[in-house]
Amino acid sequence: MKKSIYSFLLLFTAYSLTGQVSIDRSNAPEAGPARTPKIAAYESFELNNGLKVFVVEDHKLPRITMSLILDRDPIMEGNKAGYTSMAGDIIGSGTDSRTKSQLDEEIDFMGANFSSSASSIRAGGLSKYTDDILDIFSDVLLNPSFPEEEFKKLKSQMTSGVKANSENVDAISSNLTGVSIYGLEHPYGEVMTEATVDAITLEDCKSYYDAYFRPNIAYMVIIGDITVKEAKKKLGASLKKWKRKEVPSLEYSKTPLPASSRIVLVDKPSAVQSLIWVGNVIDLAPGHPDIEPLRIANKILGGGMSGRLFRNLREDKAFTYGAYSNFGIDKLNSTFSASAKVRNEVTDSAIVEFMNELKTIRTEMVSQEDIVNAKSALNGSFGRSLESTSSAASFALNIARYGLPKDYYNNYLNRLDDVTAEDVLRVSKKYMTTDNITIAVVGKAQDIAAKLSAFGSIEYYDKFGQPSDEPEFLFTPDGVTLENIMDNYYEALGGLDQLKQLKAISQESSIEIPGAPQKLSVISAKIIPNKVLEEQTMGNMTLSKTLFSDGKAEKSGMRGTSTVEGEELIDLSRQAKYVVEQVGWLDRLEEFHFDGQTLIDGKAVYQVSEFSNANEKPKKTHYFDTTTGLFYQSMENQESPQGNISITSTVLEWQQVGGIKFEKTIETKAGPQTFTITVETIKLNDDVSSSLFK
Amino acid sequence: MFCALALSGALSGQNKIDFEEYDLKNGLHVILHEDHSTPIVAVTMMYRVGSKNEEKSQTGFAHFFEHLTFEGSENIDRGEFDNYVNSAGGQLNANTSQDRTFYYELLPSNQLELGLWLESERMLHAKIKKIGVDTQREVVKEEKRQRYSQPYATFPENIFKRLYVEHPYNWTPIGSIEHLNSATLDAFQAFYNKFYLPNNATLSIAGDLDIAKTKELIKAYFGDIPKGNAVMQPDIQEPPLGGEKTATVFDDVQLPALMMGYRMPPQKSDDAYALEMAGTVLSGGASSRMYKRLVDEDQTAAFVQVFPFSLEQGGAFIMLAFANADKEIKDMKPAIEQEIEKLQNELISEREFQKIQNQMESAFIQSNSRMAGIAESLANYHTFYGDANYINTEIERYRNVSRKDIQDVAKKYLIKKNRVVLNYLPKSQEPESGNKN
Repeated sequence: MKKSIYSFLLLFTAYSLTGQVSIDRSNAPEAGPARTPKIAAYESFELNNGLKVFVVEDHKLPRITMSLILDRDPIMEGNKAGYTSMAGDIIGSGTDSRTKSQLDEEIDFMGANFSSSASSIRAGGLSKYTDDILDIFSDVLLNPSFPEEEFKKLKSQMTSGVKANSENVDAISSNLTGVSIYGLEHPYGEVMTEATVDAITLEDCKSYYDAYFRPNIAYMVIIGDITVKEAKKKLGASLKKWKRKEVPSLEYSKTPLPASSRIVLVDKPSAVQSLIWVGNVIDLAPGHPDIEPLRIANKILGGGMSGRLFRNLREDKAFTYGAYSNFGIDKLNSTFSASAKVRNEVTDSAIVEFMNELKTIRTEMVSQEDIVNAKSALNGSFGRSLESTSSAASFALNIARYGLPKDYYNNYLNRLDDVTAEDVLRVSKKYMTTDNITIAVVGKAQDIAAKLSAFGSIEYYDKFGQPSDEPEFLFTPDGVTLENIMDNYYEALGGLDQLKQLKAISQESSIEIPGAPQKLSVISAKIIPNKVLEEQTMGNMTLSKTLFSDGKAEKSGMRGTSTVEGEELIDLSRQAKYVVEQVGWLDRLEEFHFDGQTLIDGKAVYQVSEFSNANEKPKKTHYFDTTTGLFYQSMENQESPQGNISITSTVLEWQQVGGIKFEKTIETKAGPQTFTITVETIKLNDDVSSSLFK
Repeated sequence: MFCALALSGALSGQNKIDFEEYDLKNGLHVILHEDHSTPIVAVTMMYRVGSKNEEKSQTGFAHFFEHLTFEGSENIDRGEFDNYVNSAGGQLNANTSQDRTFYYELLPSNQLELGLWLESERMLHAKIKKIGVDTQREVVKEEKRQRYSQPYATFPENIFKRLYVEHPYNWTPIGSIEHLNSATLDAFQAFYNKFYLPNNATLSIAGDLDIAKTKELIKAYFGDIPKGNAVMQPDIQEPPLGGEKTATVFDDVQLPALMMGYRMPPQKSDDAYALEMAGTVLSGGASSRMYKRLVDEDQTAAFVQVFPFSLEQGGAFIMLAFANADKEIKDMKPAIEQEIEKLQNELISEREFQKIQNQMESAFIQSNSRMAGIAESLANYHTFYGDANYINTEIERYRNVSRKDIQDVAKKYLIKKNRVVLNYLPKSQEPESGNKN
C-alpha cells in the first residue's frame, strides 16, 4: 500500500516536471537553492634549496601551466629605470645550450607559451609536453647566457615601447599618477624614458639576475594535468641545482597623503577625451579586517555597471562610456582611486560628480538594499573566479606571501557577510579622502585647464611624469590691444555713442531648468544711472527680487528680506550706470588684462581676464569673437553647496532692438547643469515703466 | 551525466563538449551544455544581426541596439537590467560584430531562471524610448571617442572602408554618429521589430543546469514569443578590388606602422581555413617567419602581427608591422613582400607544417575551458557554420589543409590587387595642407 502511494507521488512529481511551468513575467523569478562554490585543493612542498612549490591538480583538460614568482621588495632603479624588466627579458633570450631562435622554435613547435619578466617566469602548454616545457623552463632559469646581440635588440625594442606608450593616454596617466602620488624618489613613482633605457648595461641585468633569481625568495606554482607526486619528482630533478643566496631586503617609508588636494595635468593637445583619475594612497595591508568593508563600499561606489559612478556619469549624464572605482592592496603601499574618460567639455563637471559621490559615501550610511546587493554581487564574482583553478593557486600564493591565516579565503564569504552599513561608512571615511585627494587628468589643456583651475592651482607634468611649464596655447596677435577689443565690441553692438545714450532698459527672459516643472521667468530692468531691478518668478510665485535704488539695495524672496552689501552692492551700482554693462569697463580698464588669442569650441577668441585685486587669480575670464567682435563667453569660479564649480555663460544668439544688438539666447553651464536663457522682450528708454521699481 | 564513463574511454583525455539542441516552434534555436564542475551558468543569446545587416544610411544601428536593449522592457524599469543581474551575483555584457549581436549573463546556477526572464523580456518587448535613445547616443559617442583615442585604433575602419565598396563590410559596427543623430524613434523600433526575433536568435546555455528542467523553463519564457518574418541576409556581390589601394593616415603615434588588409573568402570556406594556417606560418609565435625576419633578424620592426579577420561573407586578412625606433615603413616593407612571395613560391617545410598543426591543436584543446566561452562557441558554430558540433570537430578542418593549400591561398588571395595598404605616420610628419583620412 505504502509502496503504491509512493509510486503515485512519484508519478505526480514526474508529471509536474514535464507539464507546463507557469511563470509570472511581471516579476523577476526567485532564485533556486544555492550551491556553494568550492575552492580547488592545493598541496605545497619545499625543495632543499628553499623553493616553495604549490600544486593544484586539474585534470579536466590535458594542459599544464607553471609559474615561478619572486617575492622581493620593490627596487629603486633611478636613472636606469627599466633595467629589472630588461633583465627579465634577456634571461628568456638564450641559454648556454640554446640560442634565442632555438628556444623560440622549440616552444612554438609544441604550441606552448613562454614568458619571462623582472620577477617571474611562466610557461604553459599541453600536458603531453610537460617534461619538454620544464626542460626549457629550468634551462632559462638556471643557465641564461645574456647574449650581447640580444641585449642590443631588446634595448631598441624597449625604446620603441617607450615611444609607443608616449601617445597612449592610459600609459601617460599611469606615469602621472605614479609620480604625483609617490614622487620620483619611490619605486612606484619611477618612469621609464628613452634616456633611462639607454643607460642600462648588460652588467646591470646580470647582477640583478644573480642577486634576485634565488630559490629562497621564490614560489613555483604548477596547475593542471599533473599529480603532486609527479611534480615533486620532476621539479626535484630539474631545479635541485638552483643555489640559494641571501637576497637584499629593501625598506621604504610609507608615502604620506598630500597636505591638501592637488590637481595635476598632462597636456595632450590632440585629446578629445580627458582621462580623469582621482585617488590617494591608503594605509591598508593585505589581510587587514577593513578590506571586506572597503570591498563593499567600493562595489557600491564604483564597482561595475551598478555602481553609483557608472549610473551617475554614464547612465544619467552620458559623460562617459564607463566610470569605476578601485582599490589595490599591496605590502608597501595600497591605493584607492576612481577614474573615467569623458569628453573635454564635461571634464570639470565629471570631477564635481566624482567628488559628490565620494562625499556621499563618506557621509551617508548606505541602504540595507545596497549592502545586500553588494554582498550578493561579490559572492557571485568570488564564485565565478573559482571556475578557474588558477584562483586556488593565487589564494595559496597570497596566504604564503602575506602570512595570512590558512583559512583566509575559505572564510572570505563569512567575513563579507558580517559587514554592516556602519562598517561601510567607517571605512569610506577612513580610506576615501576628499580633502587630500589627487586629481590627475590627461587631456587637452586648452579646452579644460581654465575650468579645472576651479579645483586648485594646476601642476603641469609632461608625458613621462616630469614637472613642466604651463603649456602655451594663448598667443599674442600683432597689434591687438584691450582698447581695440573693446572698441570693436562697442562698434559691433551699434556704436559707443549710441550705447551711452541709452537711458533705460527692461527685459523679460525665460530660463529652462532641466528637471524643473516650469520655466523660470526673469524681469530685469535699469534706469540710468541709479535703478536696477532683478525679479525671478516661477508661475505666480516670486522666488527672489532685488531692487537697487540710489546706492542701496534690498533683496526679498522666500526667505525674507535682506539688505545687499559688499561686492554684490558694488556690482549693482556698476550695472546701474550703463544699459550695456561692459561700457562701464572703460571706467576701470586697469582691472582688465588682454591675455591673448585662443580657441574655444573651435572659435577664435580674444581672452580678457578681470581682476578685483592685481595679486590674485582673475575673478572672471571673458572671451570675444575675433571675427564679429562680439562678446562670446565668460567664465568664473564660484563656491556652491557642491563645492567650487565653474560657471560658463555663452551667447548663442543676438537680437537687434532700436538699432542695437542685445543678447537673445545665452547658455549657462554651472557645474554639471546647463540652463538656456532666452530674452523674450526688450524695451528701451521711454518704453520702460518706472512702476517696475516700486 | 550518465555518459561520463563512455566519454572518458572514447576520447582519451580530449575534452569533448556534450550538448543538446532543438528548435522551439517559433524558430528559437536552443543549445544546452551541462557541466556541474562549478555552480555557475552562462545564459547567452546570439542574434544574427550585425553591422552588415544595416542600411547604408543607418550604420551603427546594430551596435546602438546592443546599448538600447539594456534600457528596460515592459516589465523591467529603466536602468534595472543590470541591477537584477548584479544583485543576483551575476555579470552581464554584450558585444556586436559585423555579423551578430551577442548578449550574456554569467550567473550563479540557482539564478538560471533570472537569465531566461531577462533575455525573454529583451526579445519580447524591449522598451525603445526617447530618453534611452538620447542617453545611449551620447554614451556611444563616448565609446567611439574612447576607442579612437587609442593609437592606431582607426585601422580596421580604414582598411574595411577601402576593401569593400558595395558590401556592408564597408563600415564597422561602431558606424556613423551622424546616422544615429538623425535617426527617428520609429526607425529604431522598426529595426527591433525586424531583427530581434526568436527565429533570428540562438539561446545557448552552458553550466550547472538540469537539462529537462531548463527545457521546461525555456518553453515557458520563450515559447509564446511570436515568430516573425524570416530575416534575409544581404546578398551582395562585391566586384573585385581591381588593384591595390594605398592611403596614408596621420595619427597620434610615434612609431610608423604598415597595415595591410587582403580580402578574404567567407569564413566557412576551405580557403579561409588555409588562410588561418598561412597567418600562423607568418606570425604565430616568435619562431614564425615574419616575426623572426623583421623583429629578430632585420630588427626593422618592434612588433608584427598577422591575423585573419574572418567574417561570414568575407573579411580581411590583416598584417600589421610597427616600425622599430628610428626605422621607417620602407625599411620593413620589402621584407614583408619577400615573405609573402616565399609563401607563394615554395611549399612550407614538413617541420613547419607539423609546427603549425601542433599550434592549432594546442589552441583548440585549450579553448573550451570556461562556460561563457563554451556557450558562445556553440551558438557561433550553429549560427555561422550550421553545426554546433564544430566545437568538437573544427580541428578536422585545419587538419585537412595541406601544404599545397597554404601555397595556393597565398597565391590566390595575398596578392597586391586584392589588398589595401595603409601607412600610419606620426602627425608631426603631416604636411601642412595634407589630406586627412
